Amino acid sequence: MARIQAAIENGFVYPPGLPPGLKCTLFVRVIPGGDVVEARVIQSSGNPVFDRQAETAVRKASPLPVPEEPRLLQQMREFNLVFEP
Amino acid sequence: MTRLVRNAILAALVVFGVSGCSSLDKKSTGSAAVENRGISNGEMTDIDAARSQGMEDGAGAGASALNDPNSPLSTRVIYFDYDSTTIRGDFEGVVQAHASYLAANPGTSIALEGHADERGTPEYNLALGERRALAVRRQLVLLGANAGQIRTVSYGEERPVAEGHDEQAYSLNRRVEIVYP
Amino acid sequence: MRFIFALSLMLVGLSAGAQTAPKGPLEIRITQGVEGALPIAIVPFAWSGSPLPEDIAQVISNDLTRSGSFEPMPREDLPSQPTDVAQVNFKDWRVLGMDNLVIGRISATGDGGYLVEFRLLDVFTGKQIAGFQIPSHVSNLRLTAHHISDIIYEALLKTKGAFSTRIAYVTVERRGPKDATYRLQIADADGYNAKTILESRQPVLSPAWSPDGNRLAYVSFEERNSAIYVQDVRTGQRQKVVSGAGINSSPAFSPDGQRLAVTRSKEGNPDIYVVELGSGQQTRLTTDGGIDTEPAWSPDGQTIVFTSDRGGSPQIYRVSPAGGPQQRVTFNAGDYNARASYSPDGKSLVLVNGGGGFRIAIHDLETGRSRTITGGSLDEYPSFEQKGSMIIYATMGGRGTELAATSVDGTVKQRLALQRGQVREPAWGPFRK
Repeated sequence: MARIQAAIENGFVYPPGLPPGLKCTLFVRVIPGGDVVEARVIQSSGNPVFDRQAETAVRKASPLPVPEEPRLLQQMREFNLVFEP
Repeated sequence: MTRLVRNAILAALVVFGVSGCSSLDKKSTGSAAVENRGISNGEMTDIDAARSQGMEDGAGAGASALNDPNSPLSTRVIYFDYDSTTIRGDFEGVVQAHASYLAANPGTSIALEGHADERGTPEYNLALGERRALAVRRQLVLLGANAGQIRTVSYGEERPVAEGHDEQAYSLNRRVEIVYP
Repeated sequence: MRFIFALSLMLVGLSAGAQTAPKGPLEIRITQGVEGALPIAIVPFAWSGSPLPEDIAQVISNDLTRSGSFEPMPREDLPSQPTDVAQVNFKDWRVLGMDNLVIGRISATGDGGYLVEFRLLDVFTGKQIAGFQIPSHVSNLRLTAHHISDIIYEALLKTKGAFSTRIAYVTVERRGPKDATYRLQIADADGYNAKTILESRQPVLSPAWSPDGNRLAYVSFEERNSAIYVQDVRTGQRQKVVSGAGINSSPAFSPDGQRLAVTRSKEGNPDIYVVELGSGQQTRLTTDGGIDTEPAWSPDGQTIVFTSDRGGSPQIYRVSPAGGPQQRVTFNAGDYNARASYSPDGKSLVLVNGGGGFRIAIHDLETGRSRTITGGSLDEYPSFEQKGSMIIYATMGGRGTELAATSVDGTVKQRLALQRGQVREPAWGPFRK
């Protein structure tokens, strides 16, 4: 999980000057191998720039470093990403 | 005591109505008490004497009194404290000297140019510069000059003499310049 | 400036060897990111023929860089130069860390006319975010490039761009204490195409645009005292509209362009007047003994706000353009509030707030509360862009005066033109069509 987190955080760039305290949640779906097939905002931060950069960060990190072990992978097929820097 | 270079671009005299003065009492009050200084009285006498003689006579003649570096008349810049339009005590003698000179030379006219330092907005500073110039004018008239001899103009923060952004520069820019033709 | 937040990790419902299904969706928290300029690649636009007078892609790149929010890829690093969506290999751009790609093409339509087409693409989804065809002309190519910058900026940052506006400003060339040349200039927001419309040995200040962008009112001391002129920027013709003893300054056009609110001190201290430009008739609005200056109109033309120190120090007041009672607007906001102007929606004022330095503040007219939006020590000359949500102001930096724009909530900031030396009194004109 830490690897997924790190991969996404590496690509999460947002422009200077956004208001503090933003938080959004994305629904993410991956296929075996980690390719992101769906990443959409299910709870907006209210700031479209922040939301968009979160989405971009997920896509940038694709394919995600998901576990190979089938049972663990199954649990990782769909998950929520909460962006709250 | 600095000597101001003659301002070559001084334009024609604009006559000011005296009625405009009373509404200014609220903000800027020059010194109410007029000091009767021996020196200025003495100069007035000398000036009169010199004029009737038509020759300069040391620190006596009208023209050369203006040019005498030892005379308070040679001070042509009055400085102000921050956000203040009140004539400071240390300039009262200078104002008195110029008032006396003008009173003795009714044909002479001057311009008072008011200035402000750069802090604050330019338009408000234009108004502050004017307030300072009008404060000096009011004091001159109180001390004997004729309002018709004095034209005022404000340049606000637009014509600083010092370009720095520190208090030293600011203190040099908060001023009224007395400009003789 | 990198700004990295603290790290924390929380996982819901997942542990090694767990047999039970997680309660609710798996959640991974991202608590760290990088605050920086957004990477974007702008590819030279396709064109065949003799060299065009402007490199549109470069102008766009410079605009976006100057804003401080984007970091365009240097041209020499572009792996390829597609000019058509079909030619784009999105993977190439993803690998380079680009978020967005701009491609375009220019074609001549005869008689000096051109059609400029561009597309803003999302490198990760491969989708087009925006795409337009803009008719242009050989004399207008820079303006078209600025319009494209505005579109890109707004699409990605959801804030109106300020790249295609014009600014009027005064430059001062000082040679000595009383020896200076003042120039009133109009330029594009990026400083290009600067044109001097007045040059004088005497001060010039307070340029103000008419709502249609065709006229500029300003104050000139060329007759040894302040006087207000209105000049047509297209023809150069001008008219002296307010002069006389005392201060004549601070012009502001009414929203219908027919009147000027001004400051005159002919009655002994500065007061607000409204001047009918057609008839020359003047109506006095204030009569108190303090300084009343810096009038500004509300967008609906029903209110004029102005600066007055009748209460002891400068504060903002309001009055009807027809005259009548004046009410104070700024309270509990310190001892110096001046040079207010309205937001385009009429709900707030931007103004200069002082007290240990000067900064730009926004005053909410409904709540009566003010908040600071810049942190400079000498930030001045704020004005709302027409139709926009940006505030333009000048800030004193190490290299002289910088002209900058900021969003209303004080967040996204753009640096516009950087002029060497002294730039004073910037006034932003309305958007050009």
